[in-house]
Amino acid sequence: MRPLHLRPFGSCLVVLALLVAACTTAEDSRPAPRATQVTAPEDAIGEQLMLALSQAKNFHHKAKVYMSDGKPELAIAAVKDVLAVAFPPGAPEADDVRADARAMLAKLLLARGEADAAMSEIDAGLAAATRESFFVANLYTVRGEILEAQAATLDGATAPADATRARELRRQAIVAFDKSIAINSALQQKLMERR
Amino acid sequence: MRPDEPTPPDLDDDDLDVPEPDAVADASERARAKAFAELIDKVVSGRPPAAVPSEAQALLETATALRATMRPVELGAARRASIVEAALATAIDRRGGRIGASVSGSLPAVVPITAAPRRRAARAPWIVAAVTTLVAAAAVTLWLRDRSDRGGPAPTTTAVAPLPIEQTSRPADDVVGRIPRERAGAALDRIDAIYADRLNGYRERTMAGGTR
Repeated sequence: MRPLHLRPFGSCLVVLALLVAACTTAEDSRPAPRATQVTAPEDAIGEQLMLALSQAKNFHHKAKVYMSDGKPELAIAAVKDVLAVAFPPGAPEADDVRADARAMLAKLLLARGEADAAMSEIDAGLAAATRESFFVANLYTVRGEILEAQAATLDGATAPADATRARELRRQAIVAFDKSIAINSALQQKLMERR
Repeated sequence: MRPDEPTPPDLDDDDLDVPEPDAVADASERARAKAFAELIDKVVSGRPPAAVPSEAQALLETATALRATMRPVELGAARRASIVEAALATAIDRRGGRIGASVSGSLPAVVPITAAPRRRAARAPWIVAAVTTLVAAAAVTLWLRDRSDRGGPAPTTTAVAPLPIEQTSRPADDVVGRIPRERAGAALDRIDAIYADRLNGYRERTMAGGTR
């Protein structure tokens, strides 16, 4: 074959080689596709949980400011807002934070003399509880305090029924405190065993 | 020689008396000069006489040579084009390795129109190479695009990465511990503690490259 006819085909091969080399380099620069996908478990701490905790924290701080400012009704409203915070579905922290908010709310209502409303918050908190926790134990503690306070209001009464009622309230208070102690003891024991 | 043409004067050497260089030309010398000038005019205009005296022949050749050196010969347009075509054809044949194959030294034998097929023949390998390159490039491009569209193998295995307990959502009992009665209403301190603990776990997980 004459040299003149080799040159076009040589040029053709060079162009093809450059094209393939450029494409191969572009392919290599891309991240290799993964054959496996590692996912985080559903109980991993995520943005939604952190956002919910942050909101609850801010509402509690807001309530404290209102209390310091002598505005208990606004403090109660702020604590009620904690109950409306949207937590991730199934997050255990949601039960704990709401139970603690109920206990706080009951304390605020009791301080204003609204013992029945306070007891309603405690009952709601205990009804919503899905497991025993220090927060549930705290609800029983506050329940005992409410019962104790209610009994104290009957101390000055002269009617026998009121005296009987006062004794019953104190008995229920003791039951509530005992329940709280029992929960705390069991949880404490569990934590000690885990450690 | 045409009958109407004047007969060239007799320029016999015997009759030529060489005058002195500075001598004044006489009548006979002028007549000879005039006759020789007419002879040169005829030759230059392409009408040479049929017969030229031998003594005038030498002078005529000398005059023609002098004129040629003073005025280059100009070729006609057709002749010029023919020579150029022949030179180009020769050059192409040389590059194609066909030196002397069809073009000889005889320029008039070159016919310009026959050079076109040769030029096409010389371009053919380049055309074939260019078309082949384009087809191959298109094939490679389509192949690579098909591969990129598929984006590689889809994840075939899904694994749940185990996380440290600190990075999981869980009950906050271990954070707050037992709540004393005098601290029953201190929910603010507890929420602060819970938030700080979970924030640490969240940062550990996200900074370790976990899914947000």
